[in-house]
Amino acid sequence: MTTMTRRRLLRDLKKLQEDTPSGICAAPCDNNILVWHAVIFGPADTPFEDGTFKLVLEFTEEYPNRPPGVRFVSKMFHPNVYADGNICLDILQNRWSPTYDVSAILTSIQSLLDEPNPNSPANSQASELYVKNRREYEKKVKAIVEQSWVAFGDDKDDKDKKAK
Amino acid sequence: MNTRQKRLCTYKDQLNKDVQVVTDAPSGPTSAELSAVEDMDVDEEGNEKIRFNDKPDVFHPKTGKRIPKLAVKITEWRAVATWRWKCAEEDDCGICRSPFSACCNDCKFPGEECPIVVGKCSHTFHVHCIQKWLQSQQQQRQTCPMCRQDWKDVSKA
Repeated sequence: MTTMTRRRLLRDLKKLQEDTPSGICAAPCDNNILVWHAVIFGPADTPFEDGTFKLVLEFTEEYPNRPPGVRFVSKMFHPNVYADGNICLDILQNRWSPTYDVSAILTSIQSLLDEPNPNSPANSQASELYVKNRREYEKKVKAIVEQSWVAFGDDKDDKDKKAK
Repeated sequence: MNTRQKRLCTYKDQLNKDVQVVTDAPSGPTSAELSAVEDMDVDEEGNEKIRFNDKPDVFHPKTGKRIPKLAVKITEWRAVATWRWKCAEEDDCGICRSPFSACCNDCKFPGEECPIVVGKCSHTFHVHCIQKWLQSQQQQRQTCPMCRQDWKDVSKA
């Protein structure tokens, strides 16, 4: 792996540890600094409040000149998140800049949760409900918020089993 | 006011002036510094041991201000130099996040081998960092990673 990418990711990690944005945690995998696991807490006073959404960030050797692949592992119901968890966000595609870091990416995704862009839908049902039936939309969001807790517990059990 | 008190005042005035010249720095003389000399004056009858006025005054070549005299004699000194790039931004390169005074993440040593460049938009990066970014943009518009204006290197001019 190029030293440049590795050093930059280590700096990202250091920055995250020193100055953690609220509602965000992220860390690289034990054996591969190119793969990071992250958790975003749903912002307060939004339908996503109290949700603990897991994500995976996959960097390439070209980081920071190319954005990482970012997707939700937890089930998500959001106008700009595809069924497979991939996120439709301009800064992760054509508006990427090498000045962004892990912290900036995750804060952007966190604010995207309550500020969706229904004009570029990745989930047409979510998009439609968001525009036409906000109440039903919020109900569906609440459901995935609750699922995010369950998935969290399951994952922990899996790890414990593996450890044994 | 007796002679001794007058002398004391003169010393304090003298010291205040001296300290103001010394410290263009943010903090002025501490009260401890002032009282130290006062104590000396009180302790030593006749003030013979403080020799501010023994030597001729020396003036700063540029400011014309009088340079205070030291109560100590310098017998040996060693100089240490620091350097930094001439740029408006003093912090880190926005791309590699290393300080400008250090080299980019691909180089081993800072200095002329790993210089910085300034864009028309006044944003500054390590030359290696911005080169890699511009190469990766290929056919797209070559833009500054900070402000997305067209990147134009003005540091060579």
